[in-house]
Amino acid sequence: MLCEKCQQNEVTVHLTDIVNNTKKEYHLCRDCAQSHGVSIKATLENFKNLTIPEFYSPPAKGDSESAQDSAPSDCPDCGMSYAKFRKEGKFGCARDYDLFSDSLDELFGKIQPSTQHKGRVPARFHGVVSQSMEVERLRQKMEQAAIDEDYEKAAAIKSQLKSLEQGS
Amino acid sequence: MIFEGFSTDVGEWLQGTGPDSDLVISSRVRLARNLANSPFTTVANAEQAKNVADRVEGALERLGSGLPMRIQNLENKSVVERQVLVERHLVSHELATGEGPRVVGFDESESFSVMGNEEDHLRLQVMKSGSQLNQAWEQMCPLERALEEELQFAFHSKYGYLTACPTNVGTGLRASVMLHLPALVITGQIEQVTSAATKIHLAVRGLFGEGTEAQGDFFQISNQRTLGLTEEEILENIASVLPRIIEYERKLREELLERRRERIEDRIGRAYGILSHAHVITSKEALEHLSLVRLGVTLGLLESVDMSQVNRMFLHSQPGHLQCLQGEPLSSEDRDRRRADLLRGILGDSA
Repeated sequence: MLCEKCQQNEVTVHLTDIVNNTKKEYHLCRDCAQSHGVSIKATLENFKNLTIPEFYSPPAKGDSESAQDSAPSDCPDCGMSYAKFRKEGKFGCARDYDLFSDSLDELFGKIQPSTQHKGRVPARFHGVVSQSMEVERLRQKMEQAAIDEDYEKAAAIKSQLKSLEQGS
Repeated sequence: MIFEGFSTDVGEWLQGTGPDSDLVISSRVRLARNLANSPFTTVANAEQAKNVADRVEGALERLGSGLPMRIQNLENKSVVERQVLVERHLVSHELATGEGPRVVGFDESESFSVMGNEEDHLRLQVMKSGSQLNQAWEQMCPLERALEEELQFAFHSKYGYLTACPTNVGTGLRASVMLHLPALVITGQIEQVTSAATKIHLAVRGLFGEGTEAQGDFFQISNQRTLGLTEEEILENIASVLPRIIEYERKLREELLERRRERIEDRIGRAYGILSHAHVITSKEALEHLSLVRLGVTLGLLESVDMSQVNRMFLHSQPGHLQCLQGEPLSSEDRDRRRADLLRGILGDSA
């Protein structure tokens, strides 16, 4: 793919600019990107100075106001409020994860590939977690089957999921 | 010096051994863990923080009976001593400069350390010399299990190990390799590596990890994603990109030798000349020249210097070590003089 500006060099920079909800994409070579003030180094520098909450928070003012209407109540254990968590980007205790759980999928989705833990599990959680991981695995398989329009398979997985959940 | 040996030795991660150690200085894995039923360090009051520090210290002491360990209370340490621990990568900058009760436990060879009351209650890390991420992880697993038997960690069936910051949740694993990439920097190709790494969700940082800039051609590459992947998948992601970076850097080094040998030899020779003859030198300047001398050693262009000298210069010329060697805090100007003395001394051994 050739740079849309100079039409000579290979594209190395894909730039997405969103202004007033209108998305514009630019595909430029390194030189043209740099001459237009886009430097990978500078971009990385900008990211470095961006704090986690800024990274997460939508810039639009209206969003944060509407979010506050349905904000979860403050944590009775550590006193953390949802607004403070969004501002500072740090949880205060384990309970915050459950209290703020409605918003966490969206939040984690921005930086994490999935919101279901797949890694190591403490010994005391072995039985419980393997089931929730299995549920998540089947749920993803079911979604994929639906996307593939293999409804028979999706239905079979659904009944498997149901029996797994009833058994718990 | 806080410990005998700190003034003459380097930690295991800086031995200059292990696979691909000409480019990969060290490999590190770190796990973030919090104690169940205790508020995180971010909001803990003095009493709660003390309780966590005591519990971590107690667990480390019990662990220490089977695994010789040096346990240090950071509150009792001077600024310089804490700086030394940071320079040896035994504690993070955050733990060194934080407030309240904080502890660290590490083994004599400095291959692992456990920090108490960092951003999370516990930060466990294992460091190895060269490209040994999997070996570091293998050493980490029993260490984590042993601590888990002593302390109950906060865990959620969906979100995994719970951490103060959402960027650590799940596995709590940050795996990183410290790379020396002078040829990529000299030829201006480093941005390509940076952008390729970023594309597969890896972060590129400086010598001392988060929030530090790359200095003297040293870069740290680490995972950004911690949730929704297994620990092995996280390690594999780094392992998948590492050989390509290594190959790229090696190819450029060969090309530099073929096409610009005289200029490269000149730059390396001048760097050696400055390090072995300067009387005043800042840490930034020293690091830049050390990077070139290190390149010269790996390319076989500086036969009078060996890697252990480079690694000693690298560690002992840093501000904390210099002041500890001197036994007193030094002004910036005095440090620059002492640093030059130290470098001349180390290189003088080989002259």
